[in-house]
Parts: sequence; C-alpha cells; structure tokens
Amino acid sequence: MRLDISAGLQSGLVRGALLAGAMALSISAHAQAPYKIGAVLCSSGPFASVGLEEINGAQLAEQDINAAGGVDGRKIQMVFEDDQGRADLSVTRANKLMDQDKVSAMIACFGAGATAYAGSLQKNKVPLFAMIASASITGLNNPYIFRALMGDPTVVVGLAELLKKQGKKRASIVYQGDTYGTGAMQVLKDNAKKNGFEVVAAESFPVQANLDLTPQLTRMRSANPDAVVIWAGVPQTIVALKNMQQLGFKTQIYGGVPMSTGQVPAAAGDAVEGAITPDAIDRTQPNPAHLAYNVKYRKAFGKDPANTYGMAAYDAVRLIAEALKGSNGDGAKVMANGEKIRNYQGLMGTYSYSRKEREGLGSSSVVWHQYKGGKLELLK
Amino acid sequence: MMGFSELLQFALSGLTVGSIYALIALGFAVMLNATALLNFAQGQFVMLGGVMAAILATQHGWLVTAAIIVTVAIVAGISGICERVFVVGARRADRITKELVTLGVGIMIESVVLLAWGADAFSLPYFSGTASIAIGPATLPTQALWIMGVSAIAMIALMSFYRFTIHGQAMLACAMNREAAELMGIRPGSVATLSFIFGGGLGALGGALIAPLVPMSFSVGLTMSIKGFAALVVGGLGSIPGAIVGGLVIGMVESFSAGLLSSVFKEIVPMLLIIVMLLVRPRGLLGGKA
Repeated sequence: MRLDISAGLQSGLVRGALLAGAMALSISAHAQAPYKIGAVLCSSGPFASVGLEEINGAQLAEQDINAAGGVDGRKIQMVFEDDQGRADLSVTRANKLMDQDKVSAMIACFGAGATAYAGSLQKNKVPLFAMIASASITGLNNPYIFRALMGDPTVVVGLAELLKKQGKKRASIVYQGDTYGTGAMQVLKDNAKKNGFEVVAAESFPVQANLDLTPQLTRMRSANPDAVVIWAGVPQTIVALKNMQQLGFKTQIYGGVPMSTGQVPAAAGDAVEGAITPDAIDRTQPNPAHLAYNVKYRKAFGKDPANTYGMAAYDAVRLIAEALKGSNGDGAKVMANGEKIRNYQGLMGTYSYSRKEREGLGSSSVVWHQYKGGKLELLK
Repeated sequence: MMGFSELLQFALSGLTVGSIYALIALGFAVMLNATALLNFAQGQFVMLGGVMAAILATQHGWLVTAAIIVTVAIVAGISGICERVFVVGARRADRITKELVTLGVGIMIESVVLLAWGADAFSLPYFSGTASIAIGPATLPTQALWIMGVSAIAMIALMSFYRFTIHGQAMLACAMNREAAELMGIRPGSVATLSFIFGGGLGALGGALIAPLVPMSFSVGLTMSIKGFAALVVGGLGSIPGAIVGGLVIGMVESFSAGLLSSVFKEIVPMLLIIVMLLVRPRGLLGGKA
C-alpha cells in the first residue's frame, strides 16, 4: 500500500515536471516561431519546368533571409505544396496552407487555380504574391493579390507597341486555350487599333500535349498575316516553331516569355531563327546581381538555373519578407505593408505597389531579344 | 474559304500524326494479343524511348542510330522486368486490376524520368534534314516517311511472326485460351513476358522516331497512351493492320476537325468517333472477334 502511494506520488511528480517542461518548451517555441510562407507551385505536371525552378528560387531566398537574421529576429519558413498544374488541386492545396499551416502570406504560379481561391485569400487575410503572368489575376481587383512577375498585359501592350514600331499591319496569334493564352489574345486585340494593325487570325489549341499544329497554322497562313505571335508553354512553342518551318511559313515570329528559355533553341534548332521574344532581363549583359544569384544557385543545386522563374520566386519571397516586417504574422498588416513597397530593386526589375498599382514591374522592364545564330541578341 | 492546298495540307498533317498514333497502337496490340491486357504504361514506354534516345544523342554525343538501338534494348528490358515484377505479382487478380497495375507502372516511370532528367522537353534532330518534302502546294516532313516506313515494316514483321513462327502462334493461343494453351505445352508466363519485351521495345522505337517532331518530356506519356488506345479501338482490338488503320483514321479526323472547324474540336471529334465506334461496331474496323 505504501509502495503504491509513493509510486503514485512519484509518477504524479514526474508527470507534472514533464508537463511544465513541455509548456515551457512550447512557449519558447512560440516566441521563436518562424513566419510561415506558403507556396502552391506546379512542381509536377505540364508546367513542372516552371514550378521546380520556382521552388529552388524560393529556397535560396529563404536561406539568404534566414542567414541575414530573418525578419524581426524571426526566421521565415517556406511550406511547399504541389498542384500538378491543376486548378482543382490548386484550391485544396491553398486552403490547406491557409487553414492548417496558418501561413502569413503565399506565393503561387497557376492562374486558373489562384482565380478560384482568390475569395479565400481575402476571407483568411492571406496576401498572395502571384508569379502569374495572366491578365485576369490582377483584373480581379482583390486587395490581397499582388503580381510578382512581368505580367502579360505589360508584355502584350509592349508587343503591340513593337508591332507598330516595326510597321506591321496584319498580326495573327496562335495561343493555348487557357487563361495564359486567351488573356494575351484579348490584350493584343484590345491594343491593335491604337497601334495601327488588325488581328487577322487567332487560333487556339487545348493545353494537353499537342503533337501537331500544322492544320491551325495552315489556316492561319491563308489569312496572309505579316506577324505571327506564338503564345504557349515551352513544348507547344517548340511544336509551333517546327511546324511553321515544315510548312515553309516564313513570317516574322514573336513569342511569349517561354520562347526565351534555353530549351527552345536546343529543340527547335534553326526553326526559331529570327524570332523576337520578350524577357524581364537583358540576356546579353547579365548584371552582377544575376551572376551572384547564379553562383549561389550552382552551389546549392549543382547546376545552372534552367530559366528565370527561379529568380521571380526569389524576388517574390523577398518582397513578402519586406511586407512581413513589423506585422507579427498578421496577414492584413502584411497586405498593408505590401501596398507601401516602392521602387524595390529585385532581380527581375524594380517593383512598385500601391492600393491601385498591382502589377509590380512596369512596362519599362520588358526587354526584347531576337534569335541570331541560335543565340539571343538584344533587339535594336 | 478553304482551297485545295489547305485541304491537301490537312491530309498530309493527318497522315503524319496518324502514323505516330499507329506506331503507338502497334505496341499496344502486341501485348494485347499475348496477354489480353491493355498495357496503360505503353505511352510512358514511348516517352521513355524518346527522352532516353534524345539524351544519349544530344547530351552524350552518341550516334543517333547507336542511341536508338541501346534505348530500345534498355526500354524493352525494363518493360519485361515490369511485367515479371508487377503483372505477375498481380496474377491472381482480375483483368481490370492488372490493367490498373500497368497504369501505376506508367505513373512510376513518369516520376523516375522527372527525378532523373527533370521536366525539360527533349528533342532529336531530324534523321534526314529539316527540309520538308513538297507535295504540290503542301509539305510533309521527311521524318514522317521514317515513321510510316518503320510502322509498315513493324506491321509486316509482326504479321509474319504471328502467321509463320511457332512463338507467334503461341502468343495468339495464349490470348485466346490460356488454359488450353498451357495444356498444349505453352508457357503463358514466358509468352507474356516476351510480349512485354516486344511491346516495350516497339514503344521505345516509336518514341525515338517521334522525338524529332514532338518534344518529349516526362508528361507526354498519357496523351500517347490515349491516342494509341483510341487507334486500337477504332481499328479493332488486337488486329495488327487495324492498329495502323485506326491510327491513320484518328490522325486524319483530328487534322481535318482542327483545320476546318476549330482546334477545340480536335480533341472532341476523335473521342466522339470512339464512342460511336464502341456503340455501333465494337470490334472495330478490322477487328475479327467482338
């Protein structure tokens, strides 16, 4: 009996001590809790080449910010989710980040997905720095959405101005049938008249792997255009270029940002010769900040960056870190701070936001290149 | 209004894409004939063949011929191993379960390719130069001739194999009646593995032949499977000439619906065709047994 009592007492003491210890631990853990930043990226599926690069860029930003002492003395922590480039998964992954992980802010890369969960961002007060080019995402006028990538409206407006400058009168566009492609097509049409040209043919195709676009391009050619715009992801861009070469369709080609990636000249060969492509950075004279990023990237991942989407993610996470300052993780404050960011010098250009201005990068940051001998040269 | 030159181009485009589908369908048919199974990893074998050949040739500087031979051998081996490990592993399961297993094998191959080589699109140079053949006002890529030629040779070789060799007869026998074949002294297990080796190798060869036209990345496999399967259904399940005819029909229908109607219809019309086919003529155009 005595034994029992003393055993009970002992175990009670032990339990109490354990409990106190655990509470102390959890309190101190709470004080040091990192700021969580969610990321819904398409790291598998058709846009994986974009998503995987963005994960790397975001991880580099996380490393750099934490190595410099974090934000307000607290570390930041990235929480990655894969939406496989599917809008439905985008929504469930984003909700998981908001509901379970309680992230303070998010980055994301898939337009259709973000459009679908935009309402939840506002409800949960979680600002999104969207690495999404499509026009529609900032068109939602959602105060919690900031664009952190050169947007399609910016690029396509620039393209329309370039077509005018080059004296083009009959533009045509072949585009993939999602928000990325249809958004660009609409902006091109909206800006045609004021730049003195008309859109004589617009051909769309489904996003799934397309083996052949010659029927669409044949139809396009019969409209007799003097400019062909190809607005699609990397694989479809390659197919379109090769098909045009096969058809002997020799009209000046203009591409979207995917046409600037290294895979395109590697796979399409001389089919891309002479094509004019936009980019957020000047490829011919890499600036010191990009070189430093590349060195860090090689050290961390043992290879060169495959495209510039990693730099965009690096910028997006650093912009969030700016906005997190003094917020104590409160999403509404992060949003308010984000609106105060002016002339932030990132890797991809200079970002400015306000209550109204959501594009971040201005049209002045669009750089035009032309393929000459398989290499990009600055367009004169 | 569409003129003659456009219509001719649609036909040639349909022929090019159709011959790609036909080649994929052939691989399907080989396995189906021996095992009565639809191997839904077939598209991934095609993808693996294209990616691997392109990497060996463009990144490691191999001769294209050597790259293709080695790739076909490796993928054929992988396909055989997959059959031994996964399909035999599920031998007590029913047909649907086994087919789901092949679907899983396909997803696994995709993930391995993604991990090993990333998400980039890989491409081979054209075997006979980038210049296309002008047929009147329309053009045909020289690569399409390679694909058609190989499909035709593969079709003839397979038909002779089934018709004239004891192993070919054994394969057909296994699909018709496994128990009866076993009683005749045929080992259905070996025959099934052999058919996966053939089918996988044929898929890889197809992938390497397509790679100059279509950039190959880890995710194209499913599309390849769907198109190959569609060709098989239209042509007649298990029929070797049917696979070729089915592929060409699907290619033509796609090309003309994309050219004359709109790209949106390019995916819808062939699928409608399959549904109608399954309702009206379930054994396909050239299928022997329903």
